[in-house]
Order: sequence, then structure tokens, then C-alpha cells
Amino acid sequence: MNFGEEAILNLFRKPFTDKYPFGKKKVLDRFRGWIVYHPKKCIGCKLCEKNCPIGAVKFHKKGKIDFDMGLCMLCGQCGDVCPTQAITYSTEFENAKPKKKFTAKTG
Amino acid sequence: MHDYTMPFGPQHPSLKEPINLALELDGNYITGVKMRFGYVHRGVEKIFEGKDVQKVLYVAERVCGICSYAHSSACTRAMEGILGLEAPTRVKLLRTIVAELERLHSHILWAGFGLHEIGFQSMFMLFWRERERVLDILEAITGGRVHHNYNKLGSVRYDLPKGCEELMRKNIAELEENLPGLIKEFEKNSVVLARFKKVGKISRKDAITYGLVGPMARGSGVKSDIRKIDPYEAYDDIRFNEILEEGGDAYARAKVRLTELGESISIIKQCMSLLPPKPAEKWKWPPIKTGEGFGRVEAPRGEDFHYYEIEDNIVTRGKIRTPTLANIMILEKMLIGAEIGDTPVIVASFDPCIGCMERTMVIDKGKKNWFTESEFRRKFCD
Ligand code: SF4
Ligand code: SF4
Repeated sequence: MNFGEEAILNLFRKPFTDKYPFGKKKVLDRFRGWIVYHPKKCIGCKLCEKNCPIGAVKFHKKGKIDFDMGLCMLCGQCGDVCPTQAITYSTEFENAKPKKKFTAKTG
Repeated sequence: MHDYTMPFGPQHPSLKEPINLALELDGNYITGVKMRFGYVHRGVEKIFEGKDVQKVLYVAERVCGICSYAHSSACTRAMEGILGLEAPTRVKLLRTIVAELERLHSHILWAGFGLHEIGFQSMFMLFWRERERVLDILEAITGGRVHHNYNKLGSVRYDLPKGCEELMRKNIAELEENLPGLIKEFEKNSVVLARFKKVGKISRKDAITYGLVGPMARGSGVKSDIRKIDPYEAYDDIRFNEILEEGGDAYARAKVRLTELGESISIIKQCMSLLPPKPAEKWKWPPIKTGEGFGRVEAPRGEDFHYYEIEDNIVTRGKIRTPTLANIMILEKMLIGAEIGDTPVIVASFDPCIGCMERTMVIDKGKKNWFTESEFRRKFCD
């Protein structure tokens, strides 16, 4: 590799980095972002609460579950164990929010 | 000329994680070092206790932010040993692919980091551009760029997605095209040679005495690759070389890491050609057992060792020895006699991961700030 050559070639190349705030990067399908909870699908089995490694899930009643997204490490276990796919993961990765908004989205 | 002590860290531009070195100087040369750690101790082993085995797998992955998958595989190996599970061939190959992708990304990250240390910003950027391609593959396979959460006991979370093999082929072809040029430039660039050669020498004897692991040991010609010594996953069926260098200096260690990039690419390609056509089955709940066991894997930085005791699938004791913990004791010896200006290069040549390394902490209470083993047991274990 020749640095002079590389520098001249780079003048004509598109930037490799994303123009982040203006053009959002497209994340891939499997990306685990902010949790989405679907209360209608939930059957109230409590498996998600039992299986969260760090206790970020708080089960109140069927259709009402609190996810502490400040604690959640997006490991994907709750979504894996849910028998009815009532927990899914969005592709949203901008997760810096005020603390009172640290709850899962409902879908 | 005065003798004086200079603090290096915990906040220092060349340190990515906090450690504190009190360097005693005689002019420009270091005559003594006091190391102080404990700034990022998180007590992960304590967090393990009382958790279910599958949960611990996810928490173990959080020990490190670079070689996260290595911790996950060491934990899987230990747990699968205790529970008597054996993963199918395809799962083993998939795990090997992810592990090698992680090695690629970690070594490229190191190369950029080492070059940044000596102020070679343009090459740092060029290396990290290549790293992005690796992260894209990891994201496609596992859904995470840093923490993959890919392993399940006896299985993996999911098989390769549709279109992933094309993406892998494309990105790996790009890596194969771009990396050799960069590595060649690294090897012959006069700035790199001037800053890395003959810096931080470790003799073969010292490497053995201090029990070094990973590229630190291999840079001094000591065989230490767990993939060869104690093969796991699919490494038994795959042909690859253990890279050894004789120099023992920062440059030799850099060369080990950079040569391993080529080996990793070849391992990934072999794994892809070996993949059986039948997709991996969905994961199942593990059987319930009691026992103890350990697992060790070759993380990008060296041997990663996990030990667990489980009782009806609840972890009662966990212990981790990370590669940096095995390596760090030689830092003092390497620094003494070196020039102060070489400190960042010496520290960087470790490829240190301080967050992983903080495994214990001594709390300073009054005059006494140390414990004997029996006192420690009485105070914290019983
Ligand atoms: S993703 Fe993991 S950490 Fe987050 S709520 Fe679900 S189980 Fe808990
Ligand atoms: S695991 Fe699924 S169905 Fe069961 S309580 Fe949780 S969200 Fe509801």
C-alpha cells in the first residue's frame, strides 16, 4: 500500500463513514434494539420475569409488564422464552433518553 | 537532574481504561513502578452467584467489551462439561466462525490502537475501516456488534440468516484484499519500526516464569495456543498454524497479532466450506445437574479460564481468570529501565483489557490494607 496513492484515491471515493444524524445507518434484521411489548399477545405466564438475568422485567398482571430499559442489557432472553412472541426487539438504537422514558414500547 | 515520581493514569490520553502507574524516574529512565488497580472492579463473580446457568452465560459475556464472545464460549464450555451436553457439528462450526470473527475484530482494533499510541492516525483509520466489515458480519449473524449473546447451552440462538453467506464472502474478500497491504506497510514503516522494535523486551525464560499467555507469550516464542493444546469447538477438524515470533519485543507481539489475522480468515473460510447443509435445531432447555467444572478457550488476548460450581443449575461459585490478569504482572519488570516515552507503547503492546482484569479489590481500611488468605476467607467467604 502506498500512502500517496491512497490519499489521491480517497479524494474521489465516497466517505466510508455514515453521515450519522442526517442519514441513519440501516441496521440489520437481527439487531436487538429497544424492547417492544405486545400486551394483546401476552398470556401472563411470567416466564420473562423469571428468565431475565438481571431482573429488569417486572410483572404486574397479564398485559401489564414493566421493562426497566435502563437496566436491560438487551440479551434477548425474554424474547426467546416468551411462548407467544409478545416481546420483540425493535431496530431502534438511539437509546439515550430521560430516565422516566425508560420503559418498553408497546406494540 | 532530580529523581521524582510521576503518575501515569488513571486518566491519561494513551490509556483507554483506568490504571494508575506511579513511575519513579531517574532523568528519563524508569527506576521503579508502583501499580494500582481497582478503578473498574464490578464484582462479576459475585453477581453470578444464585443465578441460573443460562443467565450466567449472558452475564459472563459482559465481563469484557472486546472479547465478549470468548467469555461466553469459556462459560459455555464449562457449563456443557458439567451438564454433559455436546453441541452438534454445525453448531460447533458456527461458534468457531463467530469466535474467529471476534479475533479478527479484536486484533484489528489492537492494530489501530497501537498505531494511535505512536501518533500514526492515518493508518489507525485505515485499519478500523476494515474492522467495520467484520462487525457487519457479526451483526448479521448474532444481532449484536459487541455483545453477541449467541451461545445457548448445547446450541446457538439461531442459524445463519438468509443472505449472510454472500455478505460474509463479500466482506472477507474485501478484507483479504485490503489487509495484506496494511500489514506490509506496518512491517516496513520506519515510524513503526523506530517505536516498536526493541521496546518492552521479554525473554523466553521470563515469558515462561511469569506464565504469560496469548500473543504476549507467542511473541517470545512460547507455545500457548489453547486451540492447539486443548482443542474445543471445531478446532480439531481445522488446519491452522500457531504463530510464533522470536523477537520478544513490542514489534514481535504486533507481528503475531497481525499474522493471526490471516489465520483467522483461513479458519473462517474452512468452517464455511465444512458447514453441513442441515440447519441447526432450535435450542432446548438444559438438563438439571449439580457439579463443578472449568472451561478454557483462546481469547484474542490469550487463555481465558472460567470455573463454576453449580447446584441444581444454580451457580454457587464462579471464578474467572482473564488473559490480562495472567499477563499484567510482567508490566513492572518491563517498565523498569525503559524510557518514560516508551510507556504508552509498552502498555499498548499488552493489548490490555483492564475491565476484564479487575478480579479482586482490597479495601484500604485504616492502616492495614492487605489480607492474608485465611483472613480474606474469614472476612469475605465464610
Ligand atoms: S433483554 Fe435480557 S436483560 Fe433485557 S429485559 Fe429481556 S431478559 Fe432482561
Ligand atoms: S413470557 Fe410472554 S406471555 Fe409470558 S408473561 Fe412474559 S410477555 Fe407475557
